[in-house]
Amino acid sequence: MLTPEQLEVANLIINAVNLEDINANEIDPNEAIFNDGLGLDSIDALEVSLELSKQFGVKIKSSDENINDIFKSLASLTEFVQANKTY
Amino acid sequence: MAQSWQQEKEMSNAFWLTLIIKIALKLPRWSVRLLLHPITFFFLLIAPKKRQVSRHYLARALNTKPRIWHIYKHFFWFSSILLDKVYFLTQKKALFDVTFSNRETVICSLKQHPAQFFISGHYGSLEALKACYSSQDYTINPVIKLDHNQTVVNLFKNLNPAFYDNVIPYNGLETTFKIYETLKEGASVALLADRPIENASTISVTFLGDQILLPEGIFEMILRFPFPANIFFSQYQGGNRYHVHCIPMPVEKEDTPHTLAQKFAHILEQQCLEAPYNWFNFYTYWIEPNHDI
Repeated sequence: MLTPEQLEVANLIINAVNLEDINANEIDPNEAIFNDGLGLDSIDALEVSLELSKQFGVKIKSSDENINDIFKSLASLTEFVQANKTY
Repeated sequence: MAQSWQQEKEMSNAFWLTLIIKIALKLPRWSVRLLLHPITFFFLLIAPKKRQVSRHYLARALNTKPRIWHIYKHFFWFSSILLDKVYFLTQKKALFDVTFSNRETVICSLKQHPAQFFISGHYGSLEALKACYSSQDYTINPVIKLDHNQTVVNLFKNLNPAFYDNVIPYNGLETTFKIYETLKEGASVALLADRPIENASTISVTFLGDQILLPEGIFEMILRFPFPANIFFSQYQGGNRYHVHCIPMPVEKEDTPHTLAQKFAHILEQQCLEAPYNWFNFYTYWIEPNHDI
């Protein structure tokens, strides 16, 4: 079961990279976002980050040391968004 | 199965390279080139697998059956370009006769759009391009996998640390972000797109009749990011001659990463047919060979 914040980020991912056949509620928040999980690649991650920047003012940069950890799962990404959103 | 190029043991070990660099910096280029012959011969003898790969490639790129002297020439041109890298990095451009096709057009385009993609293969000399297009008005940042072959990279880095200042090290996810940030900040990036990257998606294309794998991410970026893309080649033409040319990448609306990768493979193929000894991928680069050759 997703938290309302996780659901919001999940819908943002689905819209950002056009994951038409995936229902946000079916996503396991602890599942990997890349490869075997949601099947996203690094360019999808960038698209997601651009969308997060637009909607929440969250900036994810290449200089962020933990960039791989941020995109580890829906749960970790949501946690980062909650901690860093500016609006 | 294609072997990962990262897994291939590098032929140039630190001892030989250090020796060559030291000699190259002290003696005239022509005399160092004489020394390259016994060294090339030595590597030809000790590297049967690379000989085999060179033979495979040359059988497709030459219009004749490759003999041992063709393979020797392929090895010799590789070492010549490696030697010239020492001179390009130590700012000895005057030693070379570098010619250009449409240089003014490229510079003009760079002044208008300083953020562009420059795509090439492991073909000729990247340093020759850098030497020709370096200016204070624009920057071209090469994306290089620095952790592969670290000893060799460090040796070259010591020659010209400033050259490596704007290198974007390939490092997975953060590299994609760094490439985008670099372009957004108004600088160009150069990428070599003819080798698959470990753990990243690949696309199968036809190249000289074989099926080979190219990295999908590069072509996807070109299609998804709104920056102009070019294909460039810095071709070695023997002696001290290099020819640099750059063309806009033929990107069309209906292109997919696969069709764009195939276009790139076709343009690279034409270059390899025109100047076969310039392409340096001494590992089993094909996944399915063309048995007709």
